[in-house]
Amino acid sequence: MFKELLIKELADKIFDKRFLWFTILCMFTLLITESVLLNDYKTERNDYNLRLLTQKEFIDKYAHENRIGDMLDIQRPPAKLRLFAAGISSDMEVNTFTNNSFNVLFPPIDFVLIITVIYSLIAILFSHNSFSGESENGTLRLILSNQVSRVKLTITKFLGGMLSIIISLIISLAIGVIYILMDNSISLDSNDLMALGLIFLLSVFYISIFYLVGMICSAFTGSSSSSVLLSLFIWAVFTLTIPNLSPWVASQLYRVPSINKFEKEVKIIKGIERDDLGRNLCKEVYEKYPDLLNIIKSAKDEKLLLAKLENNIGLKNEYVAFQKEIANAWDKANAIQSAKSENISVDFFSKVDRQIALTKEISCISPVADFSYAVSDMAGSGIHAEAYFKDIKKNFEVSLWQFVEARVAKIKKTDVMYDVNKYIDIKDRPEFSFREENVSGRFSATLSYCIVLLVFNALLYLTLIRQFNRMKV
Amino acid sequence: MLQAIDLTKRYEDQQLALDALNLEIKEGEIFFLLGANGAGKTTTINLFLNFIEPTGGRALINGIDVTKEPLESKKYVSYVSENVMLYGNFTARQNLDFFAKLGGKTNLTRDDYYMRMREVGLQEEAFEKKLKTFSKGMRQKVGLTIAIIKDAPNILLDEPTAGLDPKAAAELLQILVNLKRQGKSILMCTHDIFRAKNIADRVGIMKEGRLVMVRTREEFMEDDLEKIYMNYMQEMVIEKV
Amino acid sequence: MLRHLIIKEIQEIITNTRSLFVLLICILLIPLGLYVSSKEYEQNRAAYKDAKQMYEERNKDNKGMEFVAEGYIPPSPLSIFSSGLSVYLPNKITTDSRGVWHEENDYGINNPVALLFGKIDFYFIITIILSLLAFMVTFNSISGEKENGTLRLIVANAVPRWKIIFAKIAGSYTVFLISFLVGVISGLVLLALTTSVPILSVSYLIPFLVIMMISLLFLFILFNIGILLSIKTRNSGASITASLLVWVLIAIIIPKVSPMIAQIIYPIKTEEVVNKQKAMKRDEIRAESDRTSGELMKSIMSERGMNAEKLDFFNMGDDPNVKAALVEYDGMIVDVKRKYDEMEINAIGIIEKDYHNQQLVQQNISKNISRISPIGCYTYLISDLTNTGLIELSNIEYNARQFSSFTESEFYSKLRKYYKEYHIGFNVSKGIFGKVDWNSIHVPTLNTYNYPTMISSLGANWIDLLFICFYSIFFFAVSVFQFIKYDVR
Repeated sequence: MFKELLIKELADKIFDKRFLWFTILCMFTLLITESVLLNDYKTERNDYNLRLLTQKEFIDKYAHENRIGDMLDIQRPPAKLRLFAAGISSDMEVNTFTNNSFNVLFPPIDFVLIITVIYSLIAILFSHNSFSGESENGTLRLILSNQVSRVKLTITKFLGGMLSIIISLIISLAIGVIYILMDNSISLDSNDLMALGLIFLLSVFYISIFYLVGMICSAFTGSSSSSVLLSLFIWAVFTLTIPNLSPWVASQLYRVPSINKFEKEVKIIKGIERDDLGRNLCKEVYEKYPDLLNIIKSAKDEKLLLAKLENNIGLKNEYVAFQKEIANAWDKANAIQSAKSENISVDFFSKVDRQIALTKEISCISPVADFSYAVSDMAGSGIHAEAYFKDIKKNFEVSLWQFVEARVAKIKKTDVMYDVNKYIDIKDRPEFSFREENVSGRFSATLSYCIVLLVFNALLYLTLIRQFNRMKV
Repeated sequence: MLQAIDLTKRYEDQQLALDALNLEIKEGEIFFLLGANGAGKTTTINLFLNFIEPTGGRALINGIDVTKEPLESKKYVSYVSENVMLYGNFTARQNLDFFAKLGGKTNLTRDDYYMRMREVGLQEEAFEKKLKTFSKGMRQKVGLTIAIIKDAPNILLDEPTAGLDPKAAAELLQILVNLKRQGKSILMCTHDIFRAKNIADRVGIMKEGRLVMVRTREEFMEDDLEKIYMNYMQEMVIEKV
Repeated sequence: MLRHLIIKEIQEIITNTRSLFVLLICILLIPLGLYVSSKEYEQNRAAYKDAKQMYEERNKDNKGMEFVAEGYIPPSPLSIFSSGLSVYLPNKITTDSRGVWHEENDYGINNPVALLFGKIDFYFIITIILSLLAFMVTFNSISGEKENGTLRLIVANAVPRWKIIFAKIAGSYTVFLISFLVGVISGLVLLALTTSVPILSVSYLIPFLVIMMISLLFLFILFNIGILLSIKTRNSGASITASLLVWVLIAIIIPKVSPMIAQIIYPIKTEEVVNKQKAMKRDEIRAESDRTSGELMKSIMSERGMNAEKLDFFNMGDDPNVKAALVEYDGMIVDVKRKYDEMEINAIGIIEKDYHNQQLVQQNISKNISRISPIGCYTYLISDLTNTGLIELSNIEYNARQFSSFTESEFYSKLRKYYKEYHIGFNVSKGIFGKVDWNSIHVPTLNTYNYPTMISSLGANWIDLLFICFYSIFFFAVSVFQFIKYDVR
């Protein structure tokens, strides 16, 4: 009995023209987006390599202590699975905007969009008349006049429909993966394939939510046209409205000063204020060494000064002490201002993080958001992956600074005239290399979203059973 | 008066739906058109209403050719369709009001509508109820009222008694008799052989697109109508137990 | 007759729960979208004022020829209707004494999640939500009536077919229109009460009305497409499938896929590569410049019988010969430097212009492909009318040029005069020396930023305007025509 019902459902869906049309649409869209995103990935990777090279040349030629921080801006190589989920990043590249401003007017499609929009619509299209349609053409009564319980009927309808959609999904996903594999310049390792597998599972759970919504509306309204309207209304609310509204709602509930103000404040603290403070402190030092200062002023260049110092040991010692005090003065200025900006930073960023977290929490009412976050985290293009990268970057920066400081200390021993604006040779510095986090790490980040999706499924399923039990045939 | 002159309809797939139909229904005449499903009864009505174009011959309503002057011809015909849902969210009166205005009767009052609905046997409580709450029989009655209120000289009915209980069917047919007495020409497609004996002036039998037999009431009072009908349909005659 | 048909259509739609959905969505979302966008506009305007003020105060005592003038770009009030490119557009123009200007964007992105899902502004509501609603309202207008048999009843009367279809389109569109207007008016009332956006002032009222008209035309196009689909499909199930398919194509796929296809057809280099090109060119020209100045020094020295390479400049002391040579060198080097500066600017300009042209070509291909969907045409029209579209990019350039020449004539040329008159020199490590009266030279600020007029925005997008008018008429005509031939059985 069960098997017959299931086969009938499956056949009914697969041989429906609708199935064909939408699958063709998905394949076509997926192929186009894959080819473009693949290209994008390759150019981004090339750009990244180019930038690295340029940076390396620059540092090798012009490195000096004062500005190393700016020169050594570590950036993240593009994630491979961005082909599937473009995801989001905190620092939007204004450069990529000028490259193609169209991408802002019409953000590109990725696999995530195909699932959240097209496949969820397919789900509703198939499921909205699961009960109402059969009721309307009289076959529902025929079926129930046999030894079939309502629960069994519900299960077979759900499974049959979902199976047909899964088949379509597998075809689409397979084509996407094959297309990538055919391209030699990009290789997917086991991590990536496992991640893709998990993404597939997530998609199934997401689509089933909307399939259940369609079935519930069908059982609730009893007529196909009302059912489809109600399902689409619910779809529009959850897919289009709630996620888009959540940032605004979060900003109303938890206000945060604008990032502009913050950045300007920090700039002033670390720039002008520090310079002023530094100069004031230096003035105090100058007052302690009036004679030495005169000598320095009268000397017209380094060579002359050096010569003068060589002739007078006492003067040289005084000079060394003087340099030390100047350095200390600047260090002090830096330290004070750094501490100040650090405080403001910590405060600001914790507020921003809180608001982002709140946005996410609110948007998670919609399964679209949960799905998007989960997939972008699995693909390594989401906020979690960014945090992971930032951690690794921080660790590297710490080790790099240690290296630089050791080098500077070494140079200072031999060069009396050293100052922070002088060139230092750090060609043998440690290199930064980055590997995407492994699957289990990524999965644990997405666990909460997966659970939300499963909970949605369970709740909707229970509602469906109850609703159909009450439905009048 | 309804006239079909060599009326023929052949579809694109060469299917001959109607083969040179010749028929004339005069004023004050009720004509029952019998036939198996797919024999061409509905096609005949569709041709009269210009829902489809004939591939040969002509159909005339009150002498007006329906293909040459479709809009003019429709002024003189009312139509009762089989199994009509009407506008579910409108009440019976609202449905009636709309179709009456469409049919050219723009000056009717609420009482006029109520009177008409009473005439067909519709209950008072139902007048202002939404049509989606009506049973099949009630809906048929509203459909009939729509046709009556247009007050056109010719009426086309497609299976109006299908699915009605005997009482409702009898009420409906009584109304048709009243209309006939007012001088209207009535063409009714039906399976209802039994009622034919009571009210039809003439009966025609269609088989595979052709009108194979026409009998007047006097003629078929003598013959056993069922036998003739079944004969033409080459079905087994039910033996009397 | 027509009147009765239209009245019945309106009655039918009102008694259907669909129209309640439509009204609800219009009343809730349109004001909300407008309100949120307005608050953002207010924020941006405040940031603009702050930045401008800080700039003026910080630079009361100018630093001299190396001073970089900053012009701040005010946000346009019309941007509350469509955020378009506004987050990414430059909001600051900087220009220097060489006449080279740059556009910068120092918006920070507070909440990256907002970028993941898109903004809920008026444009989004029209192109995604109301467009879906248009299809949901019309999908079974004809096929539904056919299914429940009423279509036959109507056609069995003396009513010309064109009146029937006309009434259908007019009736359903009117109900939609009323909900839309209610939404917009409540939105405006909300704005007037709670924000300070000057949208109701005379200069913005006309563009606002034009935006509304174009939006209504756009929705009319979709209505007609929905009704056409209802005519061409046999039952409600097929109708809804077709409608959803078409909606996905029009609203989501075609607009987003067109830039992708353009990239495949006409690939161009990335910004990164072009920057590298520019850097290399710069290095080349600077090396040339250094070489020339070296030679100049040599020739001057050798004229005076000195060997430049053997000279130890710092131990010169007060050798008058050397001093004279240096003065001569200083006099001539200015021209040499200027020549190479110009060369650099031109060469970089050529590279940039080339790249810009390539971008324009690719952009045009994108645009043309996306015009298959009415949403493409609508987007370009609205984004340019709200000053957040592609035209704004060239408009900024225009204003930047104006600002650059303004600062040149009002600030840098005056400074140069001063330097000449008072023999003021400038040394990087020692700062300015000499006396100067700064009170007569004011910090250059951008006080009038010119947004293009509505007429010129419309003119620049005349193709899209034409397409929208064409689509409206075309789909309306096709629907009417198809219905006249329609098989009502």
